[in-house]
Amino acid sequence: MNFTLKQAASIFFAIDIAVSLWILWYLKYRKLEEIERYFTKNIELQRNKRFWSWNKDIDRKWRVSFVTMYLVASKELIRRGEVTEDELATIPSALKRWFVWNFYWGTLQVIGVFTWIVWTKVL
Amino acid sequence: MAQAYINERTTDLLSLKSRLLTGSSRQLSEQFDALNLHLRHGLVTPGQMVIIPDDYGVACTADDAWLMRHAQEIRRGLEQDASAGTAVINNYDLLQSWLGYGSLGVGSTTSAWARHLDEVRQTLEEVERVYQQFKNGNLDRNTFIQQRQALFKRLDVQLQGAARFGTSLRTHTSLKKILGISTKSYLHKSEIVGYTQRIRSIAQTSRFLGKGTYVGLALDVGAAGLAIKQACMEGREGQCERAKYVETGRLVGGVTAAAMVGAGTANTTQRLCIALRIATRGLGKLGCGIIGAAAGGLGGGIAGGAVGEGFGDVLYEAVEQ
Repeated sequence: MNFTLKQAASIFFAIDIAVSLWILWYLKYRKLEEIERYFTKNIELQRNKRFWSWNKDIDRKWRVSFVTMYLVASKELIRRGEVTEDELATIPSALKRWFVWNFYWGTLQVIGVFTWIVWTKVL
Repeated sequence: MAQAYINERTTDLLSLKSRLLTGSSRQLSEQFDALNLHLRHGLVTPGQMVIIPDDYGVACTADDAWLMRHAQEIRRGLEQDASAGTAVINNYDLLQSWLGYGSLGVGSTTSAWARHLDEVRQTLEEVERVYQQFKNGNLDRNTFIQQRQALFKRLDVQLQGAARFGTSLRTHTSLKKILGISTKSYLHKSEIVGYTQRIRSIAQTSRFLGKGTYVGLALDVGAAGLAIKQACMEGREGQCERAKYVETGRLVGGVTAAAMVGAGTANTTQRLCIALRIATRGLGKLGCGIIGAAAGGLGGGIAGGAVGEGFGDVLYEAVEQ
């Protein structure tokens, strides 16, 4: 069977989409409560949790997004007083890594997708 | 003058009547029935206008007739689409316009907005509760003013900029008017005209916009089905078989990638907003995320569609050989 470049890229991206969706699911349903336990006294996070409290998929998605910001934009958010260094220091690094790496992985996907769109549809 | 009340949840007329009528005289009860002829059948759905007669005066005034006419109009509007009532009760005039992949990326804009409106409602209810406590003498004047100020401050944050949409509290005048009365559902005469108009327009549009995600999705499923059907005309068996794989691949790829890339862009744009100090906190940050997620959903949908198409092609060739 001869693969064209487009077909080869499609197989690659199909695997990529499946892996990414699995990671997202894992964070939403397996790791979210675990990490939120470290922020029981954080007013902003608790407020966000109340806002997204209907426990549907979209709620978990935005709660993951919120907690991810604490980890990837920690310097700015500590300066603003939304989160403290002590709160972040108590989180095990393995747990942090799941969220941080998911963020960078997602960013890579976003760059990839938009580059691909510009390359194929615009140029 | 009789007052108008907007029903908030589905309930039967009898319990609604006993809840709304303060006096228990037979005369008042009969007048209530006469004024609310439009509510005679079955349950009273959300959004219906209930007319509450005065404690005094039995004769129907011109004002009562005016209220009855509007109540009829609202009922007719709701008959076109019963869900419009619930939509109005949730103060839901920011009906979403992002259809398809965009809203898939967000996880449905309506869903996010409904939560925001729910928060505003909770604050308003707290204001009302504090006011009731003050009226019943359980709270002294200074504490009441302090608590109310704190709640107003929270409301101000909740209603900044675009966050006002959907709450019906776009001007401070109406905000004060609503908060100035003990039960927020009671309307003044001037507001009823606007309410009637809104019911009518929302009845016409909410049917299409209320479920934006599904409409977008349905359009896509329809488009995929149409392409398959076109290819499956007589004498084109090869193309027909291929279209089944390619179009299904395009649909599945588009939808899943929209969800995936939407989540990614939500995070990326929120991070960007923090770095550029565009969003402060709370809803501002969420707004950044929503815009990003919609863009990501759209981009992901386009790219994922193409990827799925290619994957379907590969599958087709593998099956054929």
